[in-house]
Amino acid sequence: MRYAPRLPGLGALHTQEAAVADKPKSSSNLLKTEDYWAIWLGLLVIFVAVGAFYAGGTLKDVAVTPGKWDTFDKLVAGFAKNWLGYLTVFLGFGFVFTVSMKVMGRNIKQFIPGYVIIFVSSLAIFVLASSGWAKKADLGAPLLALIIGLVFGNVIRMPAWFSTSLRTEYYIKTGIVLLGATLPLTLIVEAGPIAFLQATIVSVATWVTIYMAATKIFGLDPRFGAVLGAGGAVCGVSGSIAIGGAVRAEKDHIAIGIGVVSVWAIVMILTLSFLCKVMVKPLPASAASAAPAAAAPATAAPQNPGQSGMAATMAAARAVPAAQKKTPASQTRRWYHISPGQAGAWIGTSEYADAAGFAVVAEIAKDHGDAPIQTFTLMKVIGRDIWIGIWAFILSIISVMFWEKKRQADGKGGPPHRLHLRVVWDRFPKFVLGFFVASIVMTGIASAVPSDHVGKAKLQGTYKSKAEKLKYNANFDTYPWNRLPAGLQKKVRLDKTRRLLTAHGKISLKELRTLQGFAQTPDQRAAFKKLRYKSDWFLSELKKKAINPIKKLRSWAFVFCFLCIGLSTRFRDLLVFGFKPFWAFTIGVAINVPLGYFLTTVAFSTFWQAIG
Amino acid sequence: MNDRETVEQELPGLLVLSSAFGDSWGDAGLCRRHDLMLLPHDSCEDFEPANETPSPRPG
Repeated sequence: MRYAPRLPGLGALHTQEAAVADKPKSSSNLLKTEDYWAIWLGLLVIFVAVGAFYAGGTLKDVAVTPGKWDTFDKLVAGFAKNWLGYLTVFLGFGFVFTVSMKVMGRNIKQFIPGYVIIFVSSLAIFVLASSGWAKKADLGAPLLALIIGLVFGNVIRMPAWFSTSLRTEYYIKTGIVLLGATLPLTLIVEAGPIAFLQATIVSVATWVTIYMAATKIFGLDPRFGAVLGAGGAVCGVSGSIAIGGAVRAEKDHIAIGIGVVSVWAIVMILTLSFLCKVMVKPLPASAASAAPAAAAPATAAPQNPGQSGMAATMAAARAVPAAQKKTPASQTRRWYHISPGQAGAWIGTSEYADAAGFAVVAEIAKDHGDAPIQTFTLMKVIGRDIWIGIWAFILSIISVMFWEKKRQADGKGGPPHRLHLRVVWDRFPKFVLGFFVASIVMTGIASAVPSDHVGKAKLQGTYKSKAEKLKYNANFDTYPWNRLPAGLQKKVRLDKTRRLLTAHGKISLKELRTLQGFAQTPDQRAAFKKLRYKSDWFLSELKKKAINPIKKLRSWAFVFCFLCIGLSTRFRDLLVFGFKPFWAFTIGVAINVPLGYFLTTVAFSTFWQAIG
Repeated sequence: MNDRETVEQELPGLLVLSSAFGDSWGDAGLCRRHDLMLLPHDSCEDFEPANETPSPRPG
């Protein structure tokens, strides 16, 4: 809808605006925002990782993070082993970030030293998080980065030039694009509608609550109520500023909204992190067999290497470790226990910013795997973030039809507000496109299993999973091969000369049980577990050599982000809001958090539990 | 005024969890005369292009 200009003097403005509008959309738009640069950097990393993989190599030797250490000698040994990797990560990220800053018109003389400080600090945080002390205290790199950043940021006044390198959103968006490479497209397609439904229920309820509290209870301007509501319902600070422009909010509305949302986001990071450490428990083995429909058919159907999908393999991989976890399947579950997947979904509805939410789920993932990160992404990014433009458009209509008319009647309004459907695309978070492309590319690659893949496991070796580490030296001289089903006899063979077990095709869980059923020693059983792992091309080749390095680089991007949140949060500057906006938002929090918990753990419990 | 760097200085706390260089900000700007946040296609009768000499601000 476009309104014709009615006030004098606007003709010249429209000439200027028309001139601007007629300017052809140049390719430089694709280099103008951090969203697009997050896409280019994320896809570049994925391209390099996959390219190295298909060239017979891997990035896993350079995409590294410090390993566990509990003595100084181990720390030094770790550095000696990985220094080239740290340097590669530093230079790789540094080069692309610097180029992007230059293209976006930032001062790279300020950015570069700031980036050096952030990288070195992040490395120190990784080292600290890998120490025996941090493991005992159950503190991961994400929370440590945030806490250390908060302490330094509020004790030391950061120089103005340092803010050029504090690009929280840029780093987290890069991390999210990289995350796309680890999230199967099948999972997005299947879980997306549920995530959208749940997120919409919570978002609308939260926005209405905050808006009504702001306007009816505290008598705030409707535009202010809309900005606060968007901060709590849609996407934190980004939601506030997107809606702020759509409803012609005052600068103070935006500034105060930013303060309220930021403070609550930080509070929720610490609160939800603590709650989840107490509440999150992995599922018992029997419940883990109820895998999502997208994954289940591939594990139940006869194995065909060409049809193994990433989602199916990931579900099978989760099922085996869950059954073997150190925590017994018979452990009593308390009423407040939730699965890692449920935790991620809950945080996805109840955190107020992507970066803040990722800080919490990355901490949970340290102990429980990627499930909370996946469900959080589904809920927050797919369920909430991508609809920000729709919110902006709808609220701009409401602003024109109701609030501006009232302001005009009160003699306060300006010229008619012009509506543009284009705001839906303008405000769309473009980095999500990179996330989808990454998922599509990696899902496609994962489904193209080489037909000639042969899994090989030595008779002497080590089998490692999240739940156990088994050293074995197996002897199969008396193993009753002829008692195996004919199909399995053809599939699994013993090469006595090379002391190898080989598998032509992926071994299913059922086939593993059959093989282990005839095993005479624990070493034989361990050898079969190793063979099963090696027979899965996705797990033993693609994930190990391409996807895991991408996850390491994602971890770096996340730690950069969490450190920047801490360093840029000065509570003294944020606590500028008054009593009314704070309490209006807080009333929304009181609805948002329990409603998100109820929908995740009751209404849609089975769904999120299956993913966790 | 929609220079992104200036916007980040005008809105304290913006950098904590967001950015003026992201799509959520887009090409929006801050109207210095009325202290409003406006979308790029939005304007009012007091608008003056940046390269013209500004008239004295009221009050």
